[in-house]
Amino acid sequence: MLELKNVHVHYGKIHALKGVSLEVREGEIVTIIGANGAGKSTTLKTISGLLRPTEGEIRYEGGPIHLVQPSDIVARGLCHTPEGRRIFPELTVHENLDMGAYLRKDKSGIEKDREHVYEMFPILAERREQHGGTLSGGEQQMLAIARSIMSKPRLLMLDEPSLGLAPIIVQQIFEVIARLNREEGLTILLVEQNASLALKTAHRGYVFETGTVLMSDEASSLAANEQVRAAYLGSD
Amino acid sequence: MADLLTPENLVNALSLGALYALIAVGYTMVYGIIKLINFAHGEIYMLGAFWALLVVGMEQATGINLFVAIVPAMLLCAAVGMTVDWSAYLSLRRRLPLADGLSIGGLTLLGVGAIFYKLTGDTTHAWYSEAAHGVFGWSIVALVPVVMLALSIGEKGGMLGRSLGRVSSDRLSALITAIGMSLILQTLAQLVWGADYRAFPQESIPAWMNEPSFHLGDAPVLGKELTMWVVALAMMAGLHLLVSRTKIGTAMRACSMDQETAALMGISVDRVIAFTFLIGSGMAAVAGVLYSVKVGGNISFRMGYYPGLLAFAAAVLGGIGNIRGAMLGGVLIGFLQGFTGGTFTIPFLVMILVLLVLPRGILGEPQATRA
Ligand SMILES: Nc1ncnc2c1ncn2[C@@H]1O[C@H](COP(=O)(O)OP(=O)(O)O)[C@@H](O)[C@H]1O
Ligand SMILES: [Mg+2]
Repeated sequence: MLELKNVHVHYGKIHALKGVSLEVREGEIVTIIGANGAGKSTTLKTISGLLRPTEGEIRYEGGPIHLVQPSDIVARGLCHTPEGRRIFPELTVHENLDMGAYLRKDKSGIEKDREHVYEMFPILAERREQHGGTLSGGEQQMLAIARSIMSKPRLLMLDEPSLGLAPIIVQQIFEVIARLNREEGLTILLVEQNASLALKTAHRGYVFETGTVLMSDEASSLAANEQVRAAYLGSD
Repeated sequence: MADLLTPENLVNALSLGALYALIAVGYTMVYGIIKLINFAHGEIYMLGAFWALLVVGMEQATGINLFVAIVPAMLLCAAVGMTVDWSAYLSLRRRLPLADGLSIGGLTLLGVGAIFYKLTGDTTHAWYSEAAHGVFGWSIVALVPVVMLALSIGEKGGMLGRSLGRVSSDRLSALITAIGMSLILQTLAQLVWGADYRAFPQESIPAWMNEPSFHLGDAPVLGKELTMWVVALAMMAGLHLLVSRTKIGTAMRACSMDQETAALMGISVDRVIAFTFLIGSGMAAVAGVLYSVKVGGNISFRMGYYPGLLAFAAAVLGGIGNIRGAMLGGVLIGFLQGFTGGTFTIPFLVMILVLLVLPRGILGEPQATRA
């Protein structure tokens, strides 16, 4: 469904991605784990069109997308929930969801999906007229995921959804991620620093180190790998 | 002091308030999204008057009613506003050298204008003013979009972009580019239409506009003044509805908070910015036409300077980036000027005093902490 071939990305002179290749197949949850600064967010930003690769190719559903505008990528059903939630703080919950559905024209479909995400996250329904900036961290993360779902993606990319949240909230959010994949067939590319939880949720995983793919395997094999355990699952 | 609080001054203050509010919202909306003071906005106001003047007849009345002429004036100003954004500010956002080229071009044109002015002295019968009315003047105007197009085509800014490499842009180059755009438009207007002061022909102005519609105390309120107040109020209400209730308005607010995330939601940020210029420029055009009807004989390439500056002060006073602040600031500046016999000093003094106490302006909130 999504394929990166030898992707290089530079920030000015900084060589952030040095030939990343990876693949996400329809129906999978694929995770990218790795230390801070390994290039995980850069990878997602390049896929969603915020950054341009200096070399290499990105294909989505058969066609190249590495020269496509971010808005056209969203239109093709690929949505990126950025790191740090990035809720529009002075828009209400309702308006934030509307922005997720910005490119859609099907009014009744939007209405149905809105009710659907409110069912998935009842707390958001309670807060629908509240400004996004007044929500708690966990509620903002739920809103960020809900807002992306409003764009009706077929592939959802989540950047560190557990960042800075209490364990019980993280648990809740990961249950939703697994449910979206299982019940709605949503394909998910999940970037995480919480490697143990990510490897439990995902089917396959990639381990990033300083802009390259160090290894890739079934999630269960990675979780059992000595090197991975030592470097990323140390505290378990 | 007491003799300043006259009904005549009140009428004047209300008209000035309407004028500045209509212009100030354009400054503030653009600043809210791209954090740039669009100094060319005063020239959009000036062009609004000129476009309408062209429609109703510059030398000879065409018989077209002024109210009809407002529509093409708004459309043309919206087009100019979007062209300014698309050529200069977009290249600035993308860090293309075209932005520098345009500001240098603006300064050069100003220099050329100044030399002509010096050489000829008498501006009303200047030879260039004759020439500028003809083919020469129009070919300069036609050249500008062609050159802009040639320079900005291609992903890295076309010819200029590739040969000169990227420039680093910051707030200062943004400021210089904006001033450059302002000078370009002023100088072009002078080259094309000369330096004379002009007025709308009487035939184009409906008679009721110069008759009293009612009295405020013992001061008559003329139809053109009432029109200005009513139109300004209606446009402010419409703008408020647009920004708070519609999808594109919500997208404007989203872009002013976080452009990157807006792009991730599928919003074409550059199109939302273009739309912002469209709305702001259209409102400035209305201000340009209606205020020129009110005062009469003020239409010239210079006319955008002071109203632009005072409306900018109004936007800052109300809290730059805040639309309601710009409306409030516009009315306040209008009242300060109206009740002090048209001075420029007092509005600015008050603005500075207010900013000393409220550095973000009256309705400007402290920077929201983003989660
Ligand atoms: N906007 C930027 N400008 C310059 N360097 C950046 C920028 N964003 C990230 N980097 C650098 O690129 C590398 C990868 O960063 P990132 O993709 O954010 O890592 P991760 O998400 O894995 O923590 C880091 O070395 C980081 O310092
Ligand atoms: Mg990151």
